[in-house]
Amino acid sequence: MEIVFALAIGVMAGSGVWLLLRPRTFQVIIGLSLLAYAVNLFIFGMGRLRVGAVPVIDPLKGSSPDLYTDPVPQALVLTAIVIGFATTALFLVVLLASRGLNGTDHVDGQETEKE
Amino acid sequence: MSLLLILLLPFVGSLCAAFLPSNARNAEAWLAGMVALAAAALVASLYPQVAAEGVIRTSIPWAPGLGLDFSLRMDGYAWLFAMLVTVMGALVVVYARYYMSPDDPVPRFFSFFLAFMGAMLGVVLSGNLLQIAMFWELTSLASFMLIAYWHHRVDARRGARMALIVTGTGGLALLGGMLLLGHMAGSYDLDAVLAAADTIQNHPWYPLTLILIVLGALTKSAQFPFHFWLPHAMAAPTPVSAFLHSATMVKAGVFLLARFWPVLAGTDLWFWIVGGAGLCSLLIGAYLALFQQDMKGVLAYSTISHLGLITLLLGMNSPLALVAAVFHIVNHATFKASLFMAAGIVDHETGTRNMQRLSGLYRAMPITATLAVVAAAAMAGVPLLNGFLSKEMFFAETIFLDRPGWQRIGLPLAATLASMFSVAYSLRFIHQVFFGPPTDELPRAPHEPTRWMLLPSALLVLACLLVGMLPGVTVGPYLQAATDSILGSDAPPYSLAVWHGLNLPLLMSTAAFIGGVALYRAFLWRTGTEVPLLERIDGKRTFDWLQTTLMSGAEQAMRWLFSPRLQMQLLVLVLVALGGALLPLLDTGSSWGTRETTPLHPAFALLWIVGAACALAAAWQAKHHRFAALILSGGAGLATSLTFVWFSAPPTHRRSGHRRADPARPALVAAPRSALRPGPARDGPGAPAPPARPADRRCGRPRSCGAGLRHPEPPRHRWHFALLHRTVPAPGRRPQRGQRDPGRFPRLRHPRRNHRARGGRADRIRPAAALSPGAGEHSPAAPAARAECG
Repeated sequence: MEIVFALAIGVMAGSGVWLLLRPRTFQVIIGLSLLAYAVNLFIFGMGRLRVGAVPVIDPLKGSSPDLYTDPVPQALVLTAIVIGFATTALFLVVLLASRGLNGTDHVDGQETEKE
Repeated sequence: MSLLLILLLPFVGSLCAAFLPSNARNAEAWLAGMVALAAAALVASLYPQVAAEGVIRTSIPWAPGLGLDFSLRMDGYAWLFAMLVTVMGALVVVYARYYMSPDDPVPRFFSFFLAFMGAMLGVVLSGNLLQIAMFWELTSLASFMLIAYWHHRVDARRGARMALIVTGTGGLALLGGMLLLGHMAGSYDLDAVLAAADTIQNHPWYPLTLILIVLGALTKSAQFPFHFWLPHAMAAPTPVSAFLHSATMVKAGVFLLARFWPVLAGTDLWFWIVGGAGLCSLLIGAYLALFQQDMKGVLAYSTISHLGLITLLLGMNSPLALVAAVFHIVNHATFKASLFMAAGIVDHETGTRNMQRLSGLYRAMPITATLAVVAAAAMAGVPLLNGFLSKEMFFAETIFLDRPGWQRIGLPLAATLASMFSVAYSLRFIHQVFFGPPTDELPRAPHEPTRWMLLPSALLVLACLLVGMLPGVTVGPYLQAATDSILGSDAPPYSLAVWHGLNLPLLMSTAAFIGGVALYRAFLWRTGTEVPLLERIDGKRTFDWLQTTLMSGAEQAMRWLFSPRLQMQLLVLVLVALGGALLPLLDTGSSWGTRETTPLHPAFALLWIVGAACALAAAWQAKHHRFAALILSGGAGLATSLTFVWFSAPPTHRRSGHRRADPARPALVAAPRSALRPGPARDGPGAPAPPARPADRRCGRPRSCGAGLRHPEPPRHRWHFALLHRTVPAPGRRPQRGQRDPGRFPRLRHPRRNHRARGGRADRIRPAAALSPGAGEHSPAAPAARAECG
């Protein structure tokens, strides 16, 4: 499982970084989303991968740590998702405005000669 | 507590002076004069206490946690210097009142003048190393403001900037030296540092500390090779030159060297650095002073030379030389300030300071001429004047220098040579300006100034005479107190007398006089401005070169390191992040570890085969098939969400958290209505643009976004310029210049820019109208469309 998990993170982060370095704002925004997925998975994975364990203590089950998964990365990921969502929305608005005002969706606001 | 009062008085006065009206010359002068006099009286009143107790201290807790106190400390040496600063300040204020023209905004002048006096007193009276460095920088700042007082003049601005850069850099070095010194001594308290001489001189950091502190002192005192700023600082008003650049600020450097003399001096390194810089300044300054045409230029180079003499004395590692140095500090301040005042009077009354134009002023201004002659004679070292005494002491020290071989012979020769130059330039200064045939080609007819302008100069000349004739009575006890406070029990016995008998120093003086007069006679015809031999040695040129090189170097570095392109910047960021992440691996290496892994579930593997494919495909397609890329990135997001669910995410989240949040991101991008349409296809640019329908333009909103859309259905929403429309020209075909790329989305014009481009009122259309594809410059249909809109 862990290998697959790590490969998944790697593939998504790689695609994300590659897109991040592209010249079109749309590519950058998709790249940012992919990178965010990868980072979220990475943080999540830091709490070990466990199947069938909950992060919230259930009074009926008892309090042995073996029964539960680490809740801290999950809480972090939850926060990261929300923040990532908000920044994507903000980026989107800014990039749309840039696209409208400059007439191009190049990240520099103008087409380069090489493009 | 009166120490604190002495320090605070000038600063409070400076604050008050800043708020007086700009034409209140008398009020300003009274305020500044009273502050200076009151401070002088306070300092004078402390003398019995200083003489009796040795050191007076006052300290206020500043940062007790760090062991730092704001402490003030006055011993005999500080007393002498504080007296010098305050009395000179009072005299210069009287002079400045009559020197400044009614058009000059005096509050600025007197405010910075008093602030400078306060900062200088702070340097002198501080009992803490860091405090000294702080006040040191304050003197640089105040001096900057005073040099640039006539800031409408280019030379004033340049001179001020140069002085600030040089002395500010030196101040930074000084701060470093102070920190090292405090660290070595274990305390920043001056008394503790002065008591730790052995510890410091045996410490491995001693050379570095010495170099840093000497760097600070040499820049401040305009010593070779940092001497070049002083002549350029002569653009300041003359009272400023008289106060800062002869009597006080440039003395701060030698003050500091003498202050730390017990701690730092006594080594070969000290001898070579301090003595070497002093000797170079002594000779070069005196030599260059010979060829100056500006009266203040002569005085500036002569100041460099005399400060070089003091530095050389301090560098000689002999207690008697230190006594001579302290004595010469006082003597030089009196005759040089008086000469600056004379130069200012000449400038004020004739309108020029150019020695080639001035001649025969003795007849028009006999009193000024007499005062200047006496002061210049003191500068040249004529007997019965104070300059003679310290110069004799200097000669005696050069003879008795305890050094081997050529240094014993070379130093007296160099001293005599410098003294010869000094006689020659003093003679030239007096002879060219005040004697010779009277000239009537001056901007103003010369006449004697008001007596209040002469008074300060006269008092200083009187001091020169009194000290020169009765040294034991006038200055003896104070000098004794000052040197005792530096040297402690090592203070050597010495006698301040005019006549020491016929000895070698007297012979050297005589030789210097004869040589100087001969030199002047020989070069009397000389009027050119170029300096023989040392033509190429010009500190200013080096300074300018250094400045330009630094600036262009910075630009070059910017060009290398910086790119305005976001892609390059991001690439650097990614590479740095990657490097940072890989760095720990260098130490520890990577291994698989021993922890048990979770058994692989085929469905999970399948999920991520699809997810990874989605991510890769999204990256691949994001340029041309944007909608597809959006959907694909949503697929990757879905796989991520399912992974969260798989690995024990809480049920609450499962209902409302991750599962919604992640696929919502593509939905966000697609939220604008138009974005839900599929993106432009590759065939776009190749297809001819469909004719724009008039109806499209009527409401001023575009109905068609150009060719290449699979859905010709026009968007009704304003968000039609969503990112899903690419602006990339299709591969292999670029739009020609002047021809509109049909795949390119119309440009949203800024209303103002649009207006300017067309230059007419009729074009003041709503911005939305400009979105019309026909609104570009190349469409003949555009005016009609706009008219319809109007």
